[in-house]
Amino acid sequence: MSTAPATALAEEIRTATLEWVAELLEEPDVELQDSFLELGGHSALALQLGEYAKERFGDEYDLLVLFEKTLAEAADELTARLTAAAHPEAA
Amino acid sequence: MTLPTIAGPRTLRDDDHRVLTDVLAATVERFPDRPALTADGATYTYRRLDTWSDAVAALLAELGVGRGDRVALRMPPGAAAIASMIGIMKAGAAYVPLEVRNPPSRNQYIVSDSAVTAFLGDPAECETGPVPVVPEERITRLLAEPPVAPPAGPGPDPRDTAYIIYTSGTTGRPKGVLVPHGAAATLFAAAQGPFAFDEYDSWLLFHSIAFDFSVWEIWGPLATGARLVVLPPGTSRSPEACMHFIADEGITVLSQTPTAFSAMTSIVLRDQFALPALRYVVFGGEKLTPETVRPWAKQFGLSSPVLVNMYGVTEAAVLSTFHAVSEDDLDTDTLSIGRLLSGSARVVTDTGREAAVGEQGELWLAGPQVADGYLGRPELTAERFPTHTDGIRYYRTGDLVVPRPDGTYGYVGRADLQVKLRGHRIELSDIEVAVQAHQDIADAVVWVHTFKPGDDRLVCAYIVAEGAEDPGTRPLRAHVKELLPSYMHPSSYRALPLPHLPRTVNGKVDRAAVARTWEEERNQTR
Repeated sequence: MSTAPATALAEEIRTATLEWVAELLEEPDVELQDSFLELGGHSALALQLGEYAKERFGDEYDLLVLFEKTLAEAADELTARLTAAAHPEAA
Repeated sequence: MTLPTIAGPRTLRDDDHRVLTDVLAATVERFPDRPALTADGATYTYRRLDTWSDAVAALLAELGVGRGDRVALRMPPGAAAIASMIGIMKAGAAYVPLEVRNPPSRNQYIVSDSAVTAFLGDPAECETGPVPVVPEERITRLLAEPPVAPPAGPGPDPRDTAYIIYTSGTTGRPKGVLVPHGAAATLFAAAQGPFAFDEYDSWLLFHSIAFDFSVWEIWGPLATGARLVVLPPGTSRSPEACMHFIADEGITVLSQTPTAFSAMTSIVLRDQFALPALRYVVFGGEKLTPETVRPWAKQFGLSSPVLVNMYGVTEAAVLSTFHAVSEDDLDTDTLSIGRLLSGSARVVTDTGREAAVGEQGELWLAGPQVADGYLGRPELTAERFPTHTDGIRYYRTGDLVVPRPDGTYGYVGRADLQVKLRGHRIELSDIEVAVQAHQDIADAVVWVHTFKPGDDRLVCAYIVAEGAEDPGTRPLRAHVKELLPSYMHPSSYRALPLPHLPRTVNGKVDRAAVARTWEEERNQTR
């Protein structure tokens, strides 16, 4: 459903998102099309997830996207913000 | 025989609060030659059961058993067990039933805790100490001996304990509920209001004598001159064998837990069984849901037999409310448990005030059916049987109900099975029912697990249905998503490597044991 972003950063953020969600939720079977909320994610876990992202990529997930969309969309939204911040003239 | 109907409650009189053995004596006088008991292929008249139990009482008196004593009873369901139970009461003592299939350690605990003065039946591996043991064969032999006079002297008083039944909570040691004669006798007097029971009825003893549903099954007929029919040992495990027995014996009053009834319904519908004699099906022991009765109602309707939903606790003499299931109930989410049989009740919200109509709260029961408390546990008794500011002594049931405008109650569930998670009030059993609705799932337990402080999530442990493959997490997630809002979705699903859920002696799911097995499985896969 989502257009696969070609950049290496997008791939990296998607992979990291899956790993973190699997670890935090103790749920090995996590896919990009899953929703954080439906996997049992809640706000305390979302904060934890945000901290992981900030430490590694410099910014957090958009909580609205994380709770209402798929993990792929939450990851891609973060990628888009980071890319825009790195190339402000393109925004 | 009168048509099965359900009428309103009956006004109780002071003398309804009496002794069970006097209830039996009145029946013996009215119907001496009618069949009282069918067991192990033989039938005994009221006169015969009366003289037999007199002989048991005389034997116990010889052994030193008297008023206020307690006598352990461990026998398979049968005529000797019934005669023993009555004989113990005639001797003035309370019976303490032990489930034959219980692990010896549990029976040992009960025997020691209740300090019995005699033991009837087979103690198996249980240490009885110095108390006399009377084997079942000795009780059976009394039948062939010449009648003897019952023990002289005053019999029990309505305030004396009739039986002590042990119940387990989710935590802690089993506790013995002291049920006085008057409380139990009131149940049978009160039941004459709604039910049109008579001496032509045949009641089935389906449940273990260690489970108090059996008190209803045994004394229901003995109070009305009807016939008590004992299901042969082991038969209850096969719904098919049960249905044949019920049909062959012409059972008219059947008491069931919803779980057992569901299993029977599927057999009855599959084999197109006819049960023309059946007049009443009485539900107790678990929450009854519309799903359970719908398939039956579709085939047989709701007028003959009448399906009666009853709510009760051991601490208030077996059954406290009654409600005849109607067509309207089948379309609702929650079935009514109806109105009180006797006494009064309060519904208390979690902030401690009286619940308004339509508002949920804990059911507190008061009146002549309320038990005396827990044997040797004064603190627990004071906590669970408080005397309110109105001066009335209540039993706090731990069950959540909603008072309705017509004076009836809707049943919600156990208070300890209702959780509040991130602002949502969640009934765990509703999630369990949703998971169980998946065709490959036999049973499911859902609870809140604290993964870390602040990280509380719903988790589900389930048992895969016999012959089915484990569907795995993803299909279960999709299935539950179809049925429940997202705040009720478990975050994790885990199959337990067991053929069925661990259960307590009363047939209830042992939630603590489920959580332990779940934890073991989780640690293996981490």
